[in-house]
Amino acid sequence: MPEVLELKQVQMSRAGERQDPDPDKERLELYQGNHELPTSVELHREDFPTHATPENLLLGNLNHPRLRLRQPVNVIITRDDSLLIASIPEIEEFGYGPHLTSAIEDLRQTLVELFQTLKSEQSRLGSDIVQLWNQLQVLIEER
Amino acid sequence: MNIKARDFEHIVQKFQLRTRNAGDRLAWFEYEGKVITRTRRSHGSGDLPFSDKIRGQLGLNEDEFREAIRCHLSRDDYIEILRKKGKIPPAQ
Repeated sequence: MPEVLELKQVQMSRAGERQDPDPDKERLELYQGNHELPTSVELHREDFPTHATPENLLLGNLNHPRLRLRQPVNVIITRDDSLLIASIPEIEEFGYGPHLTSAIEDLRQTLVELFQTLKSEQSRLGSDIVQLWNQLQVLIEER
Repeated sequence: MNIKARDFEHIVQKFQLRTRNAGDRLAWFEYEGKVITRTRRSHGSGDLPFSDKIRGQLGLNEDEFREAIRCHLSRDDYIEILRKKGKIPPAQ
């Protein structure tokens, strides 16, 4: 017969506040189904992400009728006050919004607008912006 | 460091950036007919929490950005900074 294991969190108040004197640890007791040999397991807080927002992700498309990404682009996600910022450090571009979806959508719009602007201004770009335009063409192509 | 929309507008005015309102307020610096740097900010008048991104796009380090916000940098100073960083060709 397979063992039945139960995880039981201990030292919590009724209000759900942790009462463990060490705030960085949550102690769980692992009971075997027969409750004969309780085993303590310590979980360290740093082993777990503190929130669900990823630190980076791959952006796969621009959701645009005329432009598309040649390949998925690595996007760094950071938080600044109440905003999330989705950035592509290689080209110093970013999008932002109150949540991840809006930050990514803003980044998409920024990339599209930047591509279209630089394309139309190609003949009068300074050296750094020419470099940016070249990088952008590696990332984005017209359909 | 965080800046406010009005600080951004000080920089726009001081450096004589060209601007265009789209989804965001776009601003770019032109020198001798060439686009040298570009940045943007959200519409509205509050804090701009991603100020470091704006600073990077303008090609300024933290000290220079602080001076720009305090209106201590002129367009000529900015040109000189960009020239030293190789973003503008050396003066003939």
